[in-house]
Amino acid sequence: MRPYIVAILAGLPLLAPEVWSGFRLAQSDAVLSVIAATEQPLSVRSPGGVWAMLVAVAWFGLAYWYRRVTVWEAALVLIGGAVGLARLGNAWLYAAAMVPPLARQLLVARPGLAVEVGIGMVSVAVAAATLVTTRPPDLAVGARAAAAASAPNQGAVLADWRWAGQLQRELGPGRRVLAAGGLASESSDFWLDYVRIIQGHERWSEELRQRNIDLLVLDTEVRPITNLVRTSSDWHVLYDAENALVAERAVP
Amino acid sequence: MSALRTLSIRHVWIGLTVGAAFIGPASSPIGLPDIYWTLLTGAWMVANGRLLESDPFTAAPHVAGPVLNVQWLADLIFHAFDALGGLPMVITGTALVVSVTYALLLMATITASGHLRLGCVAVWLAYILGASNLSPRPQTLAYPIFALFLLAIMRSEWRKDTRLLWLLAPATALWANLHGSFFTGFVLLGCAAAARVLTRRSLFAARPYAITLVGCVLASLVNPYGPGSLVYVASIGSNPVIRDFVTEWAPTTVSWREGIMFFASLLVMGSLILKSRLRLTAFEILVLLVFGYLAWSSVRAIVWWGLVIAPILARLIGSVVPNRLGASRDKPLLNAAILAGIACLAILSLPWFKTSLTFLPADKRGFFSPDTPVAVGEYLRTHEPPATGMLLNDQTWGGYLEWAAWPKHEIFLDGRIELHPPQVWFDYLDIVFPSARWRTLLDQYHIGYMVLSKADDADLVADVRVDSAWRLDYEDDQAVVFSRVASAAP
Repeated sequence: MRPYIVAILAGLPLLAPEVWSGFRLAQSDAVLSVIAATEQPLSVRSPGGVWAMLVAVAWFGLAYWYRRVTVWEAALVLIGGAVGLARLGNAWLYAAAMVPPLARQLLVARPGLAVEVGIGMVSVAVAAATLVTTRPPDLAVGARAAAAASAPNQGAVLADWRWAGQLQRELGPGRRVLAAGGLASESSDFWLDYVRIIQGHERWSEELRQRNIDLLVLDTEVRPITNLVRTSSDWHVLYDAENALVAERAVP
Repeated sequence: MSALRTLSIRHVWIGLTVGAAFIGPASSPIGLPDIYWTLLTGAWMVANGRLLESDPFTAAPHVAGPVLNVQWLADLIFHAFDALGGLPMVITGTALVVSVTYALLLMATITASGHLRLGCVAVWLAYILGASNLSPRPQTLAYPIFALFLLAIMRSEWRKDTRLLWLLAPATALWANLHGSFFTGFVLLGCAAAARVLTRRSLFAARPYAITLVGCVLASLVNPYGPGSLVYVASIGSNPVIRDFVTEWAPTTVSWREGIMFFASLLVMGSLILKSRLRLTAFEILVLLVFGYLAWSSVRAIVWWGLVIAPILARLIGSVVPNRLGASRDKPLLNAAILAGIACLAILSLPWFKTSLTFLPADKRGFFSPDTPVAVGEYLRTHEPPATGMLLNDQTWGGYLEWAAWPKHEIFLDGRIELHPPQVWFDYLDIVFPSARWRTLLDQYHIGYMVLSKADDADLVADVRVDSAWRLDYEDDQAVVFSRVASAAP
């Protein structure tokens, strides 16, 4: 039983990045990769990327050392690895696939209680650190209030994608917050426009108008668009503090 | 005739391997832009009789301080090829360097594995991993030296012959003046030294490698910049623009063809290691871990990974596949015919003759890869620049355009990222995106005319086409040239 617990704990850091955006299985996406690390292919720079490599190396090292590998172990490592490499957000499946092979190798190796406890503690610590470092910023209370108090009208709300779901709950069904259902809830065309808008594309204002957006709730760390909104006569800033900027379309 | 009778199947395997390593780069058009500023720099140094201290080829603001051109010797070597026979000679010289690399690698692989045929198979796999990185450019001149490092270590490890280690310090002195990749030789020697210490549990056991490593580090200081060269190498990987925006320096993922091949090589190596009864040596394990990590960290390190795995791969294949090659199969005349065929193919693959190879795809028959902006380069070469204002160019075309049109036209940026402050690059990206600031930025940098790619800068091209401040001067399938109308000069 102990090896399985250790193997499960070793997989925890790989679950951390998806905790904040919801677990799903997908291909990496070049456009979404710009705004969400979980949509990139797994790499050495991904949160948890080096840990994913260490888990694979640990299994391989034990398998090589003890020369007791089964076909199902290799198959699970191969399938889990391929799925994980395709997209960081799939690393949860890689973690799940690695549990039986890693546990079996630990059963063979019998590293002892102290080593197993050590591995477990390091895994939990890395998982906690990954959770903390990948946690998206909270939407400021003042920004939520400003958005709720904005003049109700027919237009849609464009919020930072990490806040969209929360904001939809706050504003209720009377307002439509785009991408409130997460990254999979909008089309690739929408995300292409979203990336162009937040990066301050020349036609950002036209694109907002074409999508009938009249309320913006933006993270001020995303500087190109927030700087443009602040100086635009088309937009009236309602709130600009902490990490959020809320602006509504100015009445002509 | 008696020499013909001695030609064995072993010669055919060697001929196939070294010949293929030559034919690949000899028959390939120039794909990477690095060679163009390499040739220009070499020509500039010969014309001026001194090293480059500032960059005369690009007009965008530069970082403060003198240019550290650690590849100055490679610039001169490629310039010499160019002076001897133009671009065809540059391509041929590169092919020769590549074939020497894989010949040395084959020797290292045979030394480690004792199998010629399996060594050849392993070298072919190494070649496939590095194939996209064998274009004419300074880094390519470093490959044979790295292969020499491998050979020296293999001979020391498997034949107890340390004589070649003495060559490595002078080789490093050469390498440090050719390309900044000389640190990979240190890594290789470091692995060998660490492995000795680990296996024999004695610092003294690592003495041959430790002495060689110290000699190599000291030899790397024999360059015009002294320790500055080492500082340059250490700083280049931490440049934020290089790290985040240059494909070659990006971490390896399955998004790239090279990435897929790297992960496939891991799968092959892993399967063979588990299947084989062979125990890897400590050196092999360390090399796999260290170079595997380097290759996973950066696409451009995959070529070194390919080189270091070849000897290990040959040993592993040898332990799972029986070596059935025997002298009884030899047919000297047939062997001679095959070798003659390889030699003919190698000659026909040369840039001067390859246009006659009908089986080569059309895009492989020229000197330039199809994405090279040859026509607009010719346009610039034959047209004067406007009276005022600088040229803004698509950055990926910078190398070719400066080669084609400098000094008549001074381009804005090329691929030498480290020459310009990060803000210049962010502004360039804002212009070609184009962000809401593109007009302001063009004024700020006094841009008077632009050479843009219709494919890569499509949004900017669409904006400029309808902007009355700009006039279309030239257009072809790939490129457009706009210049400011006189009344809108910056």
